Amino acid sequence: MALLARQLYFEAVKVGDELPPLVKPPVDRVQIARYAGAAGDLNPLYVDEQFARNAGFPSALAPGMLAMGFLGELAADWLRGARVRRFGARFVKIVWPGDVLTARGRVTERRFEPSGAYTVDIELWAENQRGELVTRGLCTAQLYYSPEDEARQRAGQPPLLVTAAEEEARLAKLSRAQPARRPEPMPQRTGLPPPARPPFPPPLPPRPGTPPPPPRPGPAAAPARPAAEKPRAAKPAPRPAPKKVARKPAKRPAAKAPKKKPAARKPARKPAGKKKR
Amino acid sequence: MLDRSLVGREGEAWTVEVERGMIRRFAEAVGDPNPLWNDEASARAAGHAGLVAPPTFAAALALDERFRQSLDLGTRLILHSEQQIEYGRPVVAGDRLTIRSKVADVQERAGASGPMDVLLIEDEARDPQGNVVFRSRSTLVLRRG
Repeated sequence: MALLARQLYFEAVKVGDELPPLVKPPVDRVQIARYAGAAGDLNPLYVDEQFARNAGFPSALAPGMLAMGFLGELAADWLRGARVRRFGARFVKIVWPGDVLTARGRVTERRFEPSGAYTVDIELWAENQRGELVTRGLCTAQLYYSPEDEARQRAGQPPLLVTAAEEEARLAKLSRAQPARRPEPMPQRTGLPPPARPPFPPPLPPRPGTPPPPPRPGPAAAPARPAAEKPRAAKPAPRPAPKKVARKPAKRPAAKAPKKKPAARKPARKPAGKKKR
Repeated sequence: MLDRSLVGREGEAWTVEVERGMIRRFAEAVGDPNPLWNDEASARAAGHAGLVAPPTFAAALALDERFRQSLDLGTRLILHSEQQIEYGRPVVAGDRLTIRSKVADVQERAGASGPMDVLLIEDEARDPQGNVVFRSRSTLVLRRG
């Protein structure tokens, strides 16, 4: 319940921020049945053991959407009520009854949109108890820039407009005003650097022969050969986001100045809903 | 393979009222205790008109069993391989949404156990004012059963 105690503001979010991992209880058959019922998705592969075996699977399987639900739980917790604008996931590996999934996430992008909308991209992924990547997702959410921005918008005023350059200048000034804590000259936004963490994506079996694989975005990685569980080409190259490859190598090191907004990354279509909250 | 002429096929629009109980049951099934989807007072305090639906609820809501059956997929096994959702606003209890689904694409892809069909279904949900509340895209891999 403390979840909603305070907002998450854009000014406090850095690229590279990690979400605290969420370890879910084992996915059991009761949960699978319950989910299939609640979601209205009664695919027999989820609920009919015999059917699944006859189809060549070792057992019934869990809906991919259940694992996506875990990613959503993690993201929504962390976002504390901020508005989710887009959410997608690819079901990389089948989730089986008994699997224990851990959902993880990391901020990969923060954007200053011209209209005064501030959005962050969070890459999300779930691993099973064997450390295998089962689900990979991306969530885009819209935040208030700051308490001031929230107060204005709640009072029906236009959003606070801050540009990336202004923010950078303000932070630079701040860091000059305070004696540097550590030798490096980057304007660190908060005291602590992100803790060392397992790299994303989690280690994968070495890829046979293909050096720089232009990872194919398509779907359908998962479900090929259930019964025999061949190591079929390990799976397509890991890719933070299944989607548009327009993402820059937003990797870790400089979690500092937010980048200019990426012109390339418009969704093909936009929900017609209102922009502001 | 599946008939490419399925591309563009639309289901009939249907209207659903989002009930609190649906949202709670869904949140319980996921095991997600977020007060926004479990506690109406919290949802209202956060400025919503009622209990809020978790983000993945939209995809579940849009799943139109009748439409899928109308596609005549025969005995194929259906594996959900990818899901995308765009939101105009959150879904909340009390919403009346009109949903329409269509086949956006059909493709054939080589799989380890022979060719598979990949079906892309798009759903769109609008409120009574005509605003898009969400759009959902589901990628289904069909294995010949």
